[in-house]
Amino acid sequence: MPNQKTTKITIDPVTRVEGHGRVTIHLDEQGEVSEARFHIVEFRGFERFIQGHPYWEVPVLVQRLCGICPVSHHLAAAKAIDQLHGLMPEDLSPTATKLRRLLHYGQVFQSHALHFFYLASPDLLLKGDTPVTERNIVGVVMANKDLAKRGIMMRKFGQEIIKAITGKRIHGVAAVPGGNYKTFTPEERWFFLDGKAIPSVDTMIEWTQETLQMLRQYHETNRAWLDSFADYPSGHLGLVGAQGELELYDGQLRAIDASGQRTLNDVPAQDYRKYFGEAVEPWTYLKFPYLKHLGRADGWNRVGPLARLNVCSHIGTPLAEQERQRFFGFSGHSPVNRTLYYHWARLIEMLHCAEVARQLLNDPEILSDDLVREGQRQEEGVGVVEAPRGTLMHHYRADEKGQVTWCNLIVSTTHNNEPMNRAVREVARRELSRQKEITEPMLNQVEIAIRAYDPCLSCATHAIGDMPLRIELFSHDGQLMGQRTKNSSLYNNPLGV
Amino acid sequence: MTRLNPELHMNPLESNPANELLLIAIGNDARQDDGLGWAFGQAMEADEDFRGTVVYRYQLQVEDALLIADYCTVLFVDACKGELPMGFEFTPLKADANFGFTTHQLSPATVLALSKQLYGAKPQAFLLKIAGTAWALERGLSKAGARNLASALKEAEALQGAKE
Repeated sequence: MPNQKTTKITIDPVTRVEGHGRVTIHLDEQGEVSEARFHIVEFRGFERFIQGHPYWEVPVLVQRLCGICPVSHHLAAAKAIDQLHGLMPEDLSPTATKLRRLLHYGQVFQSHALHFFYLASPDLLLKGDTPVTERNIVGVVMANKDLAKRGIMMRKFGQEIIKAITGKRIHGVAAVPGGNYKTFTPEERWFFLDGKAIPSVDTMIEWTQETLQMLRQYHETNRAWLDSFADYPSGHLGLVGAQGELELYDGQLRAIDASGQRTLNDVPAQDYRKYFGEAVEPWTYLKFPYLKHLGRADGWNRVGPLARLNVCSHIGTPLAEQERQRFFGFSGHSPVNRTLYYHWARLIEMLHCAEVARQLLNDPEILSDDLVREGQRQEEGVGVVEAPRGTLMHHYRADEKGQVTWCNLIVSTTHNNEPMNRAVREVARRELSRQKEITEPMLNQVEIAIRAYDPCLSCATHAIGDMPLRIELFSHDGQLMGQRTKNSSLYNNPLGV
Repeated sequence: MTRLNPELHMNPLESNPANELLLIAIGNDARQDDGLGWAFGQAMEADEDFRGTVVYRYQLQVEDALLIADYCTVLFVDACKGELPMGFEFTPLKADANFGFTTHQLSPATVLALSKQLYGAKPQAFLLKIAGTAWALERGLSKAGARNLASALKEAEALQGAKE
């Protein structure tokens, strides 16, 4: 509850964010921002819904958590279900592992393309005073048609990988307990290599490099804004490989603090519950994960592309590693705590994904039919992957009949809950304090801070229902001074997954 | 009544070679009446008189602008929250680029606008909304949703009959 000496501004929900969110900003009597919060207003309870289902159904069912990153849920669940089936990640056949990796990196590539070209690019490429009705992909199309076309083809490339491996662009089936469902054919492989039906993986690498070059120039031109926007100290969390390299599919958990000191030193992902607690707050349904040994106040971490670049020692593919070095060379800091550097980090990951995809597509082992292994049934399984938006944890227990008895999910956006709240607070204080009039561009600055994290609120809360856009302004004594309503749909499409 | 006006020759099921009509069914059949669009698409696919291509979408995305650029006629079908006089509504659709909401989920009008801007495509487009009443995480349509689907399919049948 705001006290009686504050003004409350509500942005409800945030546009161009998957799901339903809401921002409230409280001003005190002097017009200074006293508090800013990012609320989650809906809750569905997927963790309960899944109970009672046979464990082998889980990788399929959990894809319904999200229409944007279903592959991440599918694979995190699959890794957990492998363990219920008695198999650790290293026990799977090389072919199954490589196909899953190709699927995962294809998914991250297309999801990052969606975010950069269609969600973030309006924030970066259009001027701050561009009318809100034009601050979207249509605005970008008007301003840069070639970029928009390229973005579509890059997203399509990733989606075609998903389709080739799972049979569908969204919510297909690839992983089964102990391995993969179907072989990858030579024809499917050539589809991505020969550049005939769609631009080849080499073209994807080339285009990503060109986009990176454009973004580097953008950073040079707009450095003051990018360096100061929502710059605040935080921890960072992500998976790393055995040599400390960037790893998205399977690895160990590493966290660092704002100065780069290790706070979680390459621990097995399966042990996450030893290290992570989850706090709740009365004003949001979204949980707040934190490192237990640091406590709720200090143990929170950013996740996602920026965090992953911060925690890894290097990147295992040459072109992306070169870009990583440029990134830290330009910023002059390691770790980077500047929110808008997420976009740059996201593009570097896209390049890495394309390089990994090229390696895998040229690996003859992905064509093998050695797909499934058998193990000894276990009662518990944990699957952790780096989803496009960050560290994603799936944890299941099953009884002797194979029915799921318990489930815990920590999704990427949950990790970023506290960071997004901090970002909103930082921007609100800078943009809204002591302003006589709250303008649309000011409110958009708050939305830019949230969008940088690419939050998926339908994952985080499993939200269901409309996404009306409502902004409310309250006086310091709690009176509604005005409101603004946007709508996410022109024709009341109720459920956007 | 928002049925198509035959005098305007805007029947989406009329005179279209097989590769010229695209039906985009939007929704999610794991969420009760949100599956109305898909159910309509499945029924049309099962109809031997139907000549066209059906694709299924959870939500429309920018790449659908590329897809529709290949077709002369596009019919978007989706569930709709709220009451409709006939239980469904069938309307011609115009491109509309002026919007300010999420791009994770584009409207059919925006996809049309993008297709025009990016690829110079101007397919004749229609929107079929079917009213639903239940949206829980559950398979199967509500009674009202199923009734409205049947009405929409009857209308489609009449339109197909009209073209013969």
